[in-house]
Amino acid sequence: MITAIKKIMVIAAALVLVSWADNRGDVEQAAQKITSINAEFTQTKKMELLARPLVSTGKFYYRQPGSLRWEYTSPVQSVLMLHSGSLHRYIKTRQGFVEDDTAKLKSMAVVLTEITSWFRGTFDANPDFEARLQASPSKAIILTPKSPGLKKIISSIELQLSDRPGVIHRVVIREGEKNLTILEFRNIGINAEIQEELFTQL
Amino acid sequence: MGRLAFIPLLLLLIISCTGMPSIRDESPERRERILARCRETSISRSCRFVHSIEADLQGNRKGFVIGISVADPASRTLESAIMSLEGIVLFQARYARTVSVSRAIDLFSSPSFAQSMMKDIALIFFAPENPPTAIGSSAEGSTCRFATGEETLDIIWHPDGSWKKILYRNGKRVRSISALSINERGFPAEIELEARGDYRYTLYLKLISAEYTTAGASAGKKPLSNNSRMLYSIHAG
Repeated sequence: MITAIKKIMVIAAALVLVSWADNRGDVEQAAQKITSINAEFTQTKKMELLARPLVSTGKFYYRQPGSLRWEYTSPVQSVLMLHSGSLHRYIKTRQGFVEDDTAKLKSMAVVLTEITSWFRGTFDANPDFEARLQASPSKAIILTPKSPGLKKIISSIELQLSDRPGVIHRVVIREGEKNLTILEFRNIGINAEIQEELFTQL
Repeated sequence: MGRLAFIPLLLLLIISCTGMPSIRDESPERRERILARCRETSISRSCRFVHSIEADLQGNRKGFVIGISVADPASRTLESAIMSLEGIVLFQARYARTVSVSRAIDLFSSPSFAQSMMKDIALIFFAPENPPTAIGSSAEGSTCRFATGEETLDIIWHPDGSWKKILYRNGKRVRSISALSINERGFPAEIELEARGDYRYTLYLKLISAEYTTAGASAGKKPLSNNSRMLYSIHAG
């Protein structure tokens, strides 16, 4: 549910934005025309303990209404599949691909379920987050956790919007002041046919 | 009767496989060489390591995470974090005699986990604080033994550069750490840790990156106890 403050912010943002992301409704409408997305991504982890960011690369596939394949190709090969509400992750080990039980961790499920919601253009489906549209320095949807439990894990999630309607090109997940994960997407394909096997098989 | 006589022999064999092996004395020159090699199994300068970690846990469960550790042997301080492959930090703590936990979520929130994990990391990277109580050869290989109180640590090195650390408590093996391969920079590229006792697990660590850090960039840089985000602190024991 959109609160009064969020409504005011959306209206304020709508007055200054001129592109497709003129307001939350436009963002959601554009995203709803998307039936599938595939892209390559680079994940950059920054935290004080790391002298240099830890960079992971991979590719992902999303298909309406809630199927996701999130695949890392380096430094650790893994495939995470979310399909029909069921979440599985497989990791490449010395014995080949094996299933990871920690994929059932609550924090992981929260982030991945959110990702599929964002691709549907639904930014306030999860009552645990408050969503607002940011106009500058870049157009973005800012998600802030409401529940104290989730606040311990994530401070905010910033979905930076591309000029291409319905596309998020960068996600910044902040866990603390100097602890953040940046996901950047490239070679984005929209509404291509994606076979179901990609969400159910390695 | 003949079969009954075999039982004590079998028990002796089982005990010899799990208990501490005896150490055969060597010449002073040979002991010096063994001690020098034993020292090489622990870090001598502050280092930062990033590993992928494969955990085999009780109940036939498997887990995969990424571990980051900054270890400073001079101050014997450690700062470590565990994060998911997706980059979410699940656990972060500092070890300096006491374990100070700044972040712990989901399965990683138990104080006993924090204590056990930081002690495991210290055992992997740090040399024992006390001098060896025996140096020589055992059934495992060239061995340096460090006995303090109820705990005894054997460091065993092999001619191919690989090494093993075995920790015994009251004569029973509780930890076994094997450096399976050593890279060209002298860092173990793969480490396997086997924990025995009340809670059994095996960790397989594969090195992603290793680098020396300046002392100021090490875990000893700033006391976490001044950090308002610290969750709890426990004595490392």
